[in-house]
Formats: sequence, structure tokens, C-alpha cells
Amino acid sequence: MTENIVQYSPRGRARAIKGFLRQFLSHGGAQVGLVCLVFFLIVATMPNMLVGPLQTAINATGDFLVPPSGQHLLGTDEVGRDVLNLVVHGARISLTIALLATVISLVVGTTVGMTSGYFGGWVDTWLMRITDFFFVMPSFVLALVITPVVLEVMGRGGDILGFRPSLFVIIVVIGMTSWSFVARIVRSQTLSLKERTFIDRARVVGSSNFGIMVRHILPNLVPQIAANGALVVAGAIYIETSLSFLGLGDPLQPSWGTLLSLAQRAGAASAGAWWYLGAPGVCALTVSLSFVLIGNALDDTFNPRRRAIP
Amino acid sequence: MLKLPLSRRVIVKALLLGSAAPWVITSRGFAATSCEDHIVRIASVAAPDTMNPFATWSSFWPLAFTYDFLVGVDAQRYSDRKGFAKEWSVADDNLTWTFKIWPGMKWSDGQPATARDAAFTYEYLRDSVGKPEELNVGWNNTSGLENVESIKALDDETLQIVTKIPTRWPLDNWTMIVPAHVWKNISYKDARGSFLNAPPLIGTGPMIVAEFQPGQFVRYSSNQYFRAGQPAAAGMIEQLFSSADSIAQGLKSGSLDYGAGLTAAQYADLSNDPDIAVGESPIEQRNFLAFNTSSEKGAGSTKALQDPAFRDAIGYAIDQMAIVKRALRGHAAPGVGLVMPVSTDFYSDLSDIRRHFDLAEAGRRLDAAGYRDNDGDGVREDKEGNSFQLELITGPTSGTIEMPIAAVQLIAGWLGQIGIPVSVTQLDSGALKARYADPTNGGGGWDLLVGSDWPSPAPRDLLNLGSSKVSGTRNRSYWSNEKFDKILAELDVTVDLKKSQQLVDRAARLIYAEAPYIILCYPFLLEARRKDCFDSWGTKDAVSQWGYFPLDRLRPHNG
Repeated sequence: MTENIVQYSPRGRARAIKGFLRQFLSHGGAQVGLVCLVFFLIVATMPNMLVGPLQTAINATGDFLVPPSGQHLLGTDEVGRDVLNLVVHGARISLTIALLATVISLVVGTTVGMTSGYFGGWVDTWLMRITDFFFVMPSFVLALVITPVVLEVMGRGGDILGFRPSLFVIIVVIGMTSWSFVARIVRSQTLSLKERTFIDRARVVGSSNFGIMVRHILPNLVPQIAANGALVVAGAIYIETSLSFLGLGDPLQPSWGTLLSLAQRAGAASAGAWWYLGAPGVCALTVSLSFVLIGNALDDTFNPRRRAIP
Repeated sequence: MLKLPLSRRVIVKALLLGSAAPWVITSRGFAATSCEDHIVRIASVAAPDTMNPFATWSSFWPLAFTYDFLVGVDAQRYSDRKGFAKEWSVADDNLTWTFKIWPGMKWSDGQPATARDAAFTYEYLRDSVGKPEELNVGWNNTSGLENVESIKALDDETLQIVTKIPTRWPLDNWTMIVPAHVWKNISYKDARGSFLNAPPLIGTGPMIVAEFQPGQFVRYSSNQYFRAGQPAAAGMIEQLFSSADSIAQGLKSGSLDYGAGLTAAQYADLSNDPDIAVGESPIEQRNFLAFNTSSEKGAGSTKALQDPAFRDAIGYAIDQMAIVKRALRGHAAPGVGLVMPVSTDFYSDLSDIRRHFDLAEAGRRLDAAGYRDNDGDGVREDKEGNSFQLELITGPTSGTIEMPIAAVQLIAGWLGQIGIPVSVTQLDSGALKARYADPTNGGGGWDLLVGSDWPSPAPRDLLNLGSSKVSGTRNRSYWSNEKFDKILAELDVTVDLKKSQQLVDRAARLIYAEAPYIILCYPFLLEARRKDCFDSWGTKDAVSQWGYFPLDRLRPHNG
């Protein structure tokens, strides 16, 4: 089989990336989003170095619901744990859930969208009907129903791929309920791509369907997938936060949603403990906002109407 | 025309101001005047569904202010809180009970309220026994009436109840006495369901339900025919909220006089307010850790749960003091046995057999019982050689104070430290009930349960947690023990208080040693009231949880 990918020279590729970055970073939103994101990623990768090991009810030392002070920068919660400690450790869990769920959602969405767009016919019809189901079904409600059922079936004990099963379930459920949007966009782009001449060329030289999809169509889909992926992350963070807020999270591993849920149940709002509700809330808001900003900037940068059609 | 944008802006500003006006008017600065109408404003996190006491369990609060119990809990505890009966006695045979009804008492519509109404209420229930429409679905129900031989009104002021066996049921039943002239025309089918008993109700309590909007509020008017004279408060409004946040806000802003079921954080916040008096009222609730002791269908993940030695060892790994201090911020009494301290007649601190918190001791006892960590991975194995991984389920129980999740974190942490990893599943109250239901009804399969219940202080109810007859409803651990059941059977035919105490103590010790439950704590009900509108609230409990005290005696402040 002939390798038929257009090979850029290294210098040409570097120039292309540079050009992309220049255009991308010219969006103010993208800069803000990137800075926030890098900050939270650093926080999430080394929580133990920043704030020490996760505090639990057992090793909590602080007083109850102390306002922010020098000792506790973000105050304490209702059992005396340092809120900063919880939020930093929560970052790891929230971001892991959001990113992995997005990966699942992108893989499923791209596969379904590309298959259905490329093959057309009854494959397209059936796959799109399934997509429609997930599309019209509010994914949060679906997740709300699926999560307890899956937890019931799988149980909470042990480890699955290094995660507690309850976290794993949330990742899978969010991933499986938020792919339909990606699938739709990928399909429409595939429909237009497969009519291009370079696909015909690939077919003439004998590439298999799978080869054409992976080698020729997929690389051309990356902009759309990347832009939408950033938006899916934002959605995933929201869903994770909401599911945990409703008590479906793991109470032993605090994500931001679990923290908000604990704060609400402790009556933090009416007791004036703004730091307890505010800290995880602002974090969830900032991260999802920065993903939205980055997604929008990517979308603008890749927008086909603003670049020369090859 | 050029000026149009400006005038539009003015209009928008005026609209904004106008929409803010109701806020300003209801804010704290203007709220002080609300005392003038002498209406008590209370709030609860509750969802009463109907005003028919035969058809629901969930309307206790509106109905308890309107109807009287014959005797009930408060009348046995406090000499100044009485129900439908003024005094009572039992004959030497322990079977014949005589109740003296208040002379000249009237229903809120002015008709005389007599022993005949009380006799009617019990007869009404008893006649339904065995019929398809048996009245067993609500607060007024038939349980216990099977032991009653006869109920007679000897005259307007004397009620006589003769029981088949010696039982304290005539005192310890929570049947609300309803007027015969209303209920004699209601069929059992209607009483069980469709009859709504629409307000205004007719009762003998101080506050009569005058209007009921489900999910919003209950309005009461004061009973002009109340036996101790019309209450000084002109009426009452009970707001129905879905979370304690609204109650705390209402108390702060002055729109509520009393609220209960606060969280520790709200309690601490409100205690700083000079206009508000906070209180912690000891109640009958107990929070516990239950083991799934079932050995057949619905059994847990390991046979160790059925081994008393294993459960006993776990008992040494639970620090009740830490749970009270850390998770409940001191608003609870540390757990010991089945009986809670507020039930002074039966409480014992079991000091001679009490377990103490000592993780090393727990480890030693697990080693001795044969649950060692043989492969050195930090997790113990059971006798079949499987590593422990216990599933703990928890969730709120409707009608009880919610247990802070920190308590579960503590328990999971301690058990992890002695080599027994625990995973936690939070459920809502309905799902939790389905999980701990009897295995024949689809429950079971869990290992540990952290839950709570709020029994009545009758000795039988105190011990129901271990009764094999109510396995899967009251008895969450599926534990059954012949000796324990025998003591319960004996208790059922005991009237004498001293003998009851001995039996309760024997049963409490037995179940403590077998440890199907580790009692964690007895939480206090956190309540708060404003000082500016009304006086003469209770001292220990500002508002009783078992009756209408103190609404019969509240007085307007300085009035």
C-alpha cells in the first residue's frame, strides 16, 4: 500500500504550528483560559507537595467553619478540615473525571460520526437514530438514572483501572452520555470530506475503507474534534459537579461537586460560610470557563470560512 | 423624540426600584412589627400530605397541634402537659384501666368532648380489624388493639379500657382522639384514603388547622374552646420548607419565631444573634452502625459479619466521643446501648460491659478471632481467605435528623486503619429502605449500614431494633436471637415499671454483647426561637416533639 499522506517538511510544519499559535493566542480569551488551565493542571498534578496529604475527618485539626485566615487560607469546613487542602485535592479528582470522560466521549463520538458519515446508507441511518436518542435525552438526567444502577451492578469495592469504582462509573457515564454532539459534527464534516478528490485518489490506489478513514479523514477532523472537545470538558465538569452535588459521588474522595454538596448539607449558605461554598464553586466555574474560552478560540482559529480552502 | 432614550431609562429605573420594594419592606428593619398580630410563626422541614390522621404517617405536626392523645409521651413525663385524659389509673389485675376525661371539655366547634369520643375513636379503629379496609396505614392505627378486651365510656368523664393481657398500651398508644360527630359518617374505605378531613378541623388542641396548602404552609387559628382557656396567641402559621437553610434565614430576618432541625453550623451562627435563643433538645433518635448478620439469602460479602467476635472487635474501632465531637460538634450524646439517655426510665450506661475505643485492642481481637492479614498487604482476610472489602451504605431516614457524612468518613477511616477497607454508597431514604428491606423482599447484599431511627419511648419500641418479628423494617441487621425475642414477649405482658426496667436492661445487655449494632450517638434536635414576639417557651425543649406544648401557653412578649 502506498503511503499517501502529504508530507510536510519539518520547517513547513514548524511554520504552520507557529502560525496557528500566533492566531490562537491573538484571542484574549484563549490566553486567559490557557493560564487558568495550566495553573489548575499544575495544582492537580502535585496536590501533596502543595498542601500535604488529603485531610479527612480523622486527621482534621482545625476548628469548625473558621473564616479564611493566615493558617487556613480558605477557612475550614464543618469538621475542621482545611478547605484549601480539599479544593486542591478535589482539583485532581474533578479534572481527572472531566478529562477522561471527554476522551471517552470524543473517541465514541468520532468513531460513530465518522463511520456513519463515511459509509452512509443504513449504517448512517441506524447510527444517527442512536445518536438522536442521546441527543434529545438530557445527558444529565440520563447520567442521574444510570449512575446508581451501574453502581448497584458493579458494586463499590476494589479498583478498576486504578480508580475507585464510583469514580470510574461517573467517568464512563459522563463519557457515554455526552458524545452525541461530537458525533453529529464529525459526521457532517466527514460527509463533506469524503467527496474531496484526495479521498478518491486514495481509493484509486487501493487504500481500505479503514485506512482512508484513519489516515485521510481523521487528520482533517482534528480541528473540529479539538474545538468541541474543549467544550465537552466544560460540560463534563458541570455534570460531575451536579452528580456529586446530588450525593452520587464518593464521599471519601472529595471532588468539587462533593464539596459543594457537603457545604450545602452543612447549611454553609445560611450560616454565612461563603468560603466553603465559594472556593469549590469558583474553581469549577473557572476551569469550565477556561475550557469554553479555549474551545471558542480554537473554533475561531480553525473556522474554515476564515482560512483558505486547500 | 430625542428625549425618548432618557425617559426609557427612567422607566427602567423605576421598574427596578419597584421590584426591589417588596424586598426592602420584608427585610429585618421592618419585620419587627410582625409581632403585633400575635400570630406564632414556625417552620419545619416536612411534607404533610393530608389532614386525615388515619391515612398518613407524615402529618404529625399539623395534627398534633389540633388533636389530643389520650395520654401519650409528654403526659407521662411532665405533670403540666396533659392530653385528652386528666388522670388515669390501673386496677390491681393490671388489666382494667380507668381514665378521667377533663370535665366540661369542648371541641373547637363548641360541642362537648367526652369519654364517648375517645371510646368512639378506639372502637372505630377496632371495628376495622380483619376487614379489607383495616385502618393500619396511618398515625391512628389498629396495632395493639388486638390485646384489648373492651373499651367503654362509663359516663361522659370516665373511659374504661380492659385489656386481655397486662400491657401498657392504653398509655403508650399514639392515637389522636377525633370527634365522633365528624367521623361516625366516614366509611373505612374513605378513612383509609380519600377522606381529606379538609380544614377547618375540629379538635381539642390549642391550635386548630384552618388552612392547609401542601408544600407551602399550614395556618392555624387558636381554639376558643380550649380546656385551659383560649390560648393567648391569636393563631399560628407553619411554613413548610425543604431545607433548614430557609429556616435559619427566616429566624435571622425575623419572619419566623421558631424553627427546628438546624445544622450545627446554623446553630453556631444563630447563637451569636442577641434576638435569638438556641437550644438543643434531647430526643429519642439514635444513630447506629448495623452489620448485615443474615447467613442465608441477602448475606453480606463475608461470613465474618455473622460472627459476634468480629462485630465485637469492630466495636473497639469506633470512637463515639470523636463522632460526637468532630462530626456533630458536640450536639449529641455518645452512643452506648439501645436505650437513649432521654428515656430516663430505661437508660443504662452499661459501664461494666462497655467497649472503649482502642484500635490496637480491635486489632488484637480480630487476630484472636482468626481475621489476620496473612499475605502482608495491609488488608485482613476472613476465614475463607478472601481479603476484606466491606460495602457501607448510608442515607437519610425520613422523619429523623440527618447524620453528617463526616461520621461515615470517620468510621471508614478507622476500619481502614485496622485493615478492613470500606467503600461507601450514599442513597436517598427510599433507596436505603429498599436495600435494608428483608432479603425475601429484595433487600440485603450490603455489609455495613449507617442509619438512624426515632422510636417512641415505649420499651417495646426501644428494643424493636433487635426483634426478629420486624426484621427488614425496624430491625436493620436481620439479627435474630431467641433469648432476646423471649424477653420481648415477656415485656409485652408486663405493666409494672420496675419489672419492665429489668427486662429492658437484660435485653440491652444481650444485644450489646452480641453487637449486631454499634450505637454511634444520640443526636440532639437543634432548635432556635426569636425572643421578641413570644414568651413562655419550654426550657429543655422549646417546642415539644410529642405534642402541642408550649402553644397552649405562649404569651406575647410584654403583652
